[in-house]
Amino acid sequence: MSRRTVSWLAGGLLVAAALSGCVSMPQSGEVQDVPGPPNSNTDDQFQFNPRPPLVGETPTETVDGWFEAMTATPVSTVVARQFLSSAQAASWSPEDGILTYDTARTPQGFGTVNVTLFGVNRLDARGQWLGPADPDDLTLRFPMEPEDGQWRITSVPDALIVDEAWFETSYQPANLYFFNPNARVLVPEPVFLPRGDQLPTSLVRGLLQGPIHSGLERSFLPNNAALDLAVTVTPDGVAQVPLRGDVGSLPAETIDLMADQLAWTLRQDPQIRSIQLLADGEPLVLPGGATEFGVDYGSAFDPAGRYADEELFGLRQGRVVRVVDGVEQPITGPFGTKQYGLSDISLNLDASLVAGVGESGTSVILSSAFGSASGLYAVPRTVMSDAVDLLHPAWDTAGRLWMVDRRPSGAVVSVFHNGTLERVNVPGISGERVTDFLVSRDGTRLVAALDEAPSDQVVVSRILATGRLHGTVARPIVGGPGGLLRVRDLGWRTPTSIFFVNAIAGRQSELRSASVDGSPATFDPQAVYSLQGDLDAQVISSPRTEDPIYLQSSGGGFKALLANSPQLPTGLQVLHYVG
Amino acid sequence: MRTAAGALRRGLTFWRRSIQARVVLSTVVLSAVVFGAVGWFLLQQTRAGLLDDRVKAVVAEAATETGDAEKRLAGVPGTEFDPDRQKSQLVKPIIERGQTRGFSVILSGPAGPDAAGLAAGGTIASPDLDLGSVPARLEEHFRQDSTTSWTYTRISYLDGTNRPDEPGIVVGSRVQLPADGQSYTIYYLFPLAQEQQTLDLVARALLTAGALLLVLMGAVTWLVTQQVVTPIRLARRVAERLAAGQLEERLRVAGDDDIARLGTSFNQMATNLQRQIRQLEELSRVQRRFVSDVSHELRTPLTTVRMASDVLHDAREKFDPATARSAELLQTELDRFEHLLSDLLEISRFDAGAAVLETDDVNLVDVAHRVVDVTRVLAEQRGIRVVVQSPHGPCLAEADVRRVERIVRNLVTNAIDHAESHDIVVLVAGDAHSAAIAVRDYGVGLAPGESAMVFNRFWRADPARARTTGGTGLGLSISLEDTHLHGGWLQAWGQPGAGAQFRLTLPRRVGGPLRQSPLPLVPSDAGLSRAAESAS
Repeated sequence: MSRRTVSWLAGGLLVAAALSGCVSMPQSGEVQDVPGPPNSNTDDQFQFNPRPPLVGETPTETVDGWFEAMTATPVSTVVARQFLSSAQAASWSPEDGILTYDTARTPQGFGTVNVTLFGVNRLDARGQWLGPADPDDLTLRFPMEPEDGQWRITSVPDALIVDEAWFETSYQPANLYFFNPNARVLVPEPVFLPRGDQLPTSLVRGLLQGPIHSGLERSFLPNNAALDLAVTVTPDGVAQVPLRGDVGSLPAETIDLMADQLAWTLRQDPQIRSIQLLADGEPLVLPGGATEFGVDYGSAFDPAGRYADEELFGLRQGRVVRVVDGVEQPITGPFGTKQYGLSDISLNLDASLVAGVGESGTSVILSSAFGSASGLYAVPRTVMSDAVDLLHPAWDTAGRLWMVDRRPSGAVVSVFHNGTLERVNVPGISGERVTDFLVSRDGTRLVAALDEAPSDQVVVSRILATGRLHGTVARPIVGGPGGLLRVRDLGWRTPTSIFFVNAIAGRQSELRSASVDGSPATFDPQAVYSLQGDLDAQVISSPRTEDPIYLQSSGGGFKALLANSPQLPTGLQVLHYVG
Repeated sequence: MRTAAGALRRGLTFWRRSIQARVVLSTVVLSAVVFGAVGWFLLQQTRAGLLDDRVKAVVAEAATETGDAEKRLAGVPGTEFDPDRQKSQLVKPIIERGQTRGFSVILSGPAGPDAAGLAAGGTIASPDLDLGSVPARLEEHFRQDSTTSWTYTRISYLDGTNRPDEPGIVVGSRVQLPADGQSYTIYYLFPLAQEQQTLDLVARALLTAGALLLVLMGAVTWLVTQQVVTPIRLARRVAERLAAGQLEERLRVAGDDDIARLGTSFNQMATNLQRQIRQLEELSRVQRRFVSDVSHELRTPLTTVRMASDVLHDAREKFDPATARSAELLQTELDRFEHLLSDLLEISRFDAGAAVLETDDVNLVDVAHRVVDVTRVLAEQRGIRVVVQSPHGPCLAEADVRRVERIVRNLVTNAIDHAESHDIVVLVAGDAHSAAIAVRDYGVGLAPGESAMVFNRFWRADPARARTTGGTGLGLSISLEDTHLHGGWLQAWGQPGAGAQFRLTLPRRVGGPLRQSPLPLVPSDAGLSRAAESAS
């Protein structure tokens, strides 16, 4: 075989090898780096990465470091865990609760380090405000042990223990929304949850833990449902809620109600615009075929009353008038056309019924708001006549008329519903000296201002519908020992917060707000208005945040608190929103 | 075996003889090379494009998955402490998505320079996936670096899944678990099966198209060359017939293209050649006839002159010396004239094709001795010794002894003429197929090119040189004709100063094949002579 033939053959073989190499995909090669995007922190919070334990730290330095490590931002306990002994690190459950403190004394001790905290408040595992610890200063003992030559804490409380200032910047108030027992309206439950990216997950986890008060609210999220790691929010604002459990097999109505709860709860994160539920990884289909719903879903279950009338109603010369855009007009019902000698009125949420308080404050007359010969209460009917001193009555979405009669023996709480008048026992309010009261439109909260020495108090009771209607023991949310309050009037600010007018000495009063869970108003410092020269001003407000807020002086003048509010006619005896 | 060899031989002969086959095969082979190169280029481009697109897509998909994972981890409350549950919750949805989207996932960690490999356990992976699918070099990369990286790999599946191994791309990304603050690596393994299928499809299409094109090219080339080769073949056949003497053959010319013009030129050339050949033949025939006629016509007067000369020669002693000398000269020149006339007649017989062999078994050794004896007197006059070197036995050949003797005598006489007093050696040898006589002299030799001309009629190396032996200048020509009549060879070798050697080779049987001579044409002492010459 000639050399030329051999060269040709070799060349042919090379070409064939190259060709065969080209027609197959590679199975090995160099490791190639992918240029990564810049580290984008979607959270607008500042970041604080605490230092881990250092070699040779003393026991007090270790405890000090542990306290500091718990203030990692975003919230993280990874570093704090490093200050604990192995056994304690494995069993420590900081998610069981939160202790906030105002100030702390420097850690002291060696074998056991003591730390005294002042102004301690407690929150439960779900973030619900439990109020101050009793007593509100707390000394914590941290037994220390050397581990691998370094001091470590062998026992710590199962809670995140942080100072108030950090808590206020790292946690935010939010509501978990549950349904009332007959699923007609949502009931908000205030909690405190981490700000930023962890908020949506914390909100859903809070809902998944079920109702806080099983007698007055219910949840349509299945008991065995669990969140798969976390809720994510896409850049276009879609919150994906990956659930596991029997979610996919739920009836359409339940899914709908579950979506209502989630929509109301997740809309509190401003970056969320719509929600997609995933059941075991697959999008959950809502009644109607959609797999995604906006955060305005379920508006029919608004705790502030979806179908509540937006207008103001007042009394002029004993007749009921409707005020629309500053122009008053008598209602067509009997109270608008005839003189019944009323001193106060309260309209139900759809403004179809008027409860009028007689001039002496001893009776309540119920009448239709519309002028028609037939229909419910077309002819006014007295529903209470033996009262002593009735306060401004209140309505809830269930159509219940709440009345508080201030008798010499103390306040009596009554409810008129379905033609029946019923006395309701509310421990902590019934029998007390009540100066004003409110009932939430969802009918689950009764807020009352109590005239007490040396300081008035505002208390909240939850109304339970199990069996006979009754309230829980009222819990103070404003005032109490050490305060100097003279509460003159109450009004709803939101479904979970109230306004109250506090008279200050020197013919001065102020309008303040408070959360129904009793948490400090420091989360909302804008809600204080100073009022000069009127100790008995009244606040005219509704839980709908978009409704104008007015202050009525004892002389009958009105002052709008918000710009662009319609001017009101003067000379009206009383003025109220519905409810 | 013999059939195969025969077929191969026939194939090779066909290949050697058929320009059409060579052109077609060359075209097909060259086209195959070109198609191969183009196909290779196309495949390479397709493969690179497919891989680029796939890498971009998988890196983007992995980035999306990792981004989603990071987002989900960022949403986990920081107080939670259950790394195992978090790992599981993190990777499970990715694995599920991977099953529907066709990629596999492995979560390994915690990461670090001293982290154990995937084989050490603690990983969460897609079902059926063999952890060995992640190359060690990528694991090593993540021991040193946390940058998202990718590489090619071979994805393998666990035994019993009946899934074959396949090429793939593995992308690795780092995530940090809030539960323990440790880094974990997520490996995404994307198979390249679809790209392989696409590439196979393209390769098959190219191969099929290439094969069809090659067949088409072969057929087209066959047809095109057929148009060119057919006239050439016709021209070849006509040329062969012309060469065989059929001078009337002509090409059939049709059309006005290059081939037709070639045919016309060919026919013109054939016509011209035919005319010239005819003229030459006629001229030759006339010349031969003239020589023959002259020779015959000269014989009668020569006989009369001869008889008169003989009378004068016999009576020369009665003449005065000058007249006697003239009578002797007349006799001598008449002898030469007779010889010349005899040779001319002999040549004429050859030219007329009238020469006939009378064969018998001739012993060339005897012939050599006889010739030497006959020429001894002449040799001795020159002081030359003629030596016969022959084998012990006879050296037989079927030949016309008269003609062979004449050949050998001519050669010896010619050698004596040119020996210049050196000895002459007559060599005789024979073998199974042939017998040969060579006459070697050490005289002036032959100049280059003269060995082919010595057999020409009336040719002499030096025109000034006298014919001392009374040669006619036709002896070697007649010898050559005699040799050809026997079917033998008569060849000459010579070098200036080294002498010359003439070799007669005859077949054992008249008409028998003659392949080689028992005696070399170039004498063995040729080199020695030259060396001796240069030494002197």
